[in-house]
Amino acid sequence: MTSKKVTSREVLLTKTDQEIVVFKTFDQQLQIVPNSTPVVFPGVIFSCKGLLKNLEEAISVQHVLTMMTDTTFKLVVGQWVLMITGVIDTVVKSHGNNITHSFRPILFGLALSENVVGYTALFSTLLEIAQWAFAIPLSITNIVHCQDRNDAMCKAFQSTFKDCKFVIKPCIVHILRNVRQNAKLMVNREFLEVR
Amino acid sequence: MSTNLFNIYVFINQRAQEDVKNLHLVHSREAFKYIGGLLLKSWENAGEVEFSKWFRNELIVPPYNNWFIGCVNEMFEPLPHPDTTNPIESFNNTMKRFIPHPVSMSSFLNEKMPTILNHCLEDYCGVQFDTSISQAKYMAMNSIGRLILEKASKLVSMNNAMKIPNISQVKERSGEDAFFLNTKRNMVNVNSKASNNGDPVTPFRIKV
Repeated sequence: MTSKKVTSREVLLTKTDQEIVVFKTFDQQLQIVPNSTPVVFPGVIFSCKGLLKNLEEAISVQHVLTMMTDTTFKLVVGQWVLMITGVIDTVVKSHGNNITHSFRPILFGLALSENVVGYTALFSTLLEIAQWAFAIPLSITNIVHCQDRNDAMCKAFQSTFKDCKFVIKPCIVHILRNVRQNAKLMVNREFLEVR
Repeated sequence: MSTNLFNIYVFINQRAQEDVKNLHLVHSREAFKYIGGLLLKSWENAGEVEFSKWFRNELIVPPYNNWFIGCVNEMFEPLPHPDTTNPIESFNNTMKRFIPHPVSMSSFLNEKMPTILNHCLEDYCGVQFDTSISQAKYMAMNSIGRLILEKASKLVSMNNAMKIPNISQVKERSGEDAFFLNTKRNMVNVNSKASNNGDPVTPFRIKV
């Protein structure tokens, strides 16, 4: 990746739709040995010009921006994780009894772990891009954010979007999984036989 | 009584799971607080003090108290908001299909990421394919779709020689071939003229 950081609309317009564009870099401090000077690792927030259309459409169409953020492991050798944030189609497509929402990615980020620094960079980039990347500056005011109950993500989201009206909505599947995992705290366990 | 080999004993308290599922269906915050309180009390009365303490600290107190159905509607106008993060998990699955094992950073950014971005730009994330034409277009245009197509063509070329018979086809044949079974073990080589078709497949048998 040879591209430099892009922070203005004029430079963004010179890029093609598919080209990878870097929006922000950040430093993560990792303390390998306790009580020693931390090692600084770079992190990067990137995307491409075409995917920003998703943000433009979502902000202009949805009166409440419905966002979703998650992290994927084991794509890059090492401890690197890929952070993904995007918006959801609130137009509901129903197939019989099933309701589907489709996901539209906007920004990707590479970080060493799920940490507050990385998520803050990701969310603040989204907030800044809405201001400068489009012909008319768009402002994010109302957000519903669906996530998997990650503390770092939650803290970063609350600090970044503190001026907005937002609801952090944890995923019910993850909640049920956590309840199942924490059943070890229970005294009277009912044993179930699973075929 | 189960008869298979996979008897796994899981320590799920079934009542807790069902209670949490029911609490998710609540439509207002007042009801959520009231019913949640009753739930915690009932668990404490049953002797599960530690579990109810964990549940209160994690899921009844902010910031993670907005997981019931009516939580968005009390703040904004009613809108179809998702209850799960399944859309993004399915997107992760798509990426994992294309990158099945970890790659180096340079190849990830130079080779894999552009294909993922192209995949996103072609508007196929989470889109259900309805018509055969759109499916064919997806298969032909998209790089991940092309992989599936190659796999399918490979399967077809393999299946030319080794064919799994259908019961419906078998029924129309003459009486002597009627003993064919439509199971995975009984694969039949259509091209061979041997009379013992329908025998269980062994490594020796596959070579024929």
